[in-house]
Amino acid sequence: MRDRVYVSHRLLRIACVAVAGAGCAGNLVTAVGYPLTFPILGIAAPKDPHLFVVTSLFAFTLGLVALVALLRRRAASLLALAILGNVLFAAPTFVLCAVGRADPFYYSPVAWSVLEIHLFFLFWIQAKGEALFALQLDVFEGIDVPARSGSTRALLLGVTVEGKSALDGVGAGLKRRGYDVDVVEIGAEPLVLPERQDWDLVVVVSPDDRLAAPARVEEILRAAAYREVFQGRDAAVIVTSRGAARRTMAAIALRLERAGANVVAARAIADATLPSARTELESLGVSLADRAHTRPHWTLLLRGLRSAPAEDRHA
Amino acid sequence: MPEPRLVDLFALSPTHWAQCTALLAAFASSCALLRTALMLEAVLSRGVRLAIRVLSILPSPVVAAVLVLSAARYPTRAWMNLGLATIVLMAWYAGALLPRLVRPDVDRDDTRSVLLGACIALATGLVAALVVG
Repeated sequence: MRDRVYVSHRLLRIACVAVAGAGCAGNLVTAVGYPLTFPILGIAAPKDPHLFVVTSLFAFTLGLVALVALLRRRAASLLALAILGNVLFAAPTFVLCAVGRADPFYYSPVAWSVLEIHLFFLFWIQAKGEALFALQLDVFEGIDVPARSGSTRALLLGVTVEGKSALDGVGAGLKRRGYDVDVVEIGAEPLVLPERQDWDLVVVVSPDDRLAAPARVEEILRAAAYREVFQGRDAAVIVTSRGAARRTMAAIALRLERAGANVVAARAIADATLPSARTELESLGVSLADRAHTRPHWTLLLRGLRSAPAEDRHA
Repeated sequence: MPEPRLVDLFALSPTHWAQCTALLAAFASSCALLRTALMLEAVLSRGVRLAIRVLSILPSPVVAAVLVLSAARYPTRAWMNLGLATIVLMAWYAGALLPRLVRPDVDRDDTRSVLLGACIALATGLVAALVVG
């Protein structure tokens, strides 16, 4: 499941554009041509023609907004606006139909709006944070690539017993590739860092704390006193979690970026104490050591829909 | 025949059970999708984090409330409404599963919270059915 996208970004965009375009055209035709088409189709004439035309044009405008958002690729807020507008259109229309104050025919535009809402949500979900899952997927592509020249020292920063297992796994993988590894646990006390600090890589291992990093980790990442630990270095994020890790990973990666680090990998481990997880962690360590060619731009996460086209990565 | 009121729509009445089920299903699946969409929005924001946690469970109390309301108004339909609630909860689960089609890195909690919420809602409906039945 992890490495497969069932619906590519291109296909999803085509589906969204088709549905939005059809909705747009349908609403315009309805608003303009209902005096001709409704009698032919046996649909009752609207009780308030002016309100009907205004509502249809409102739905038409929503379609246009969605089309602009989908085609220009630089308007995430417009897509959210289209979703909100569809909800505002569909909910009252549905209720009016349900309580008998509107012809059952109007269920059809409501159903179309619900389809649009779901497709737009999927588009939003896929496009937002594309760098995050690129970081998760691409990191393993670095395996078997010769190690980078320069320093071969790494700092592993971690917290909790579960995190310690993750530290051990990643540390083992890095050592297999000839790295010298310093392990520093994040506790209640200030960090005790070794004197030699010429690390090539910093790995932050943290548990998920209800959709956020624990306060201790946050403090370390935000503290000016530790800024030089991260400044200008490659960094990786590993979140140990029992279910939800994506948001915590993103938050820690963002903090690392703000601390001046170059985030090269992010990975969630469901249960770091399992043997399979230890193997995966060790592989992660190996691939981190070999991170020669894969340097996805983490800042794409922040830009969201305003980022570069995603087809290449999703295809 | 008196004109139906809004409360009839949300009480799974004999005349509006299909509409109520469809409305709740759309609401529940939209909640799941919005929750997933917000997971990577403003990742340092506590407000968004709170919204995600609320959306994780929101359909559950709504469905539970509908089941209790319908059991109170239409006691003979209380058991059948449990089946309708199951359809709604399946739509909620489908909404949580859908993002897996477009992203490979979805969290396990995206669907696990739905199962927890479904248990709460159905247990509430079951108690209501037992009480009125």
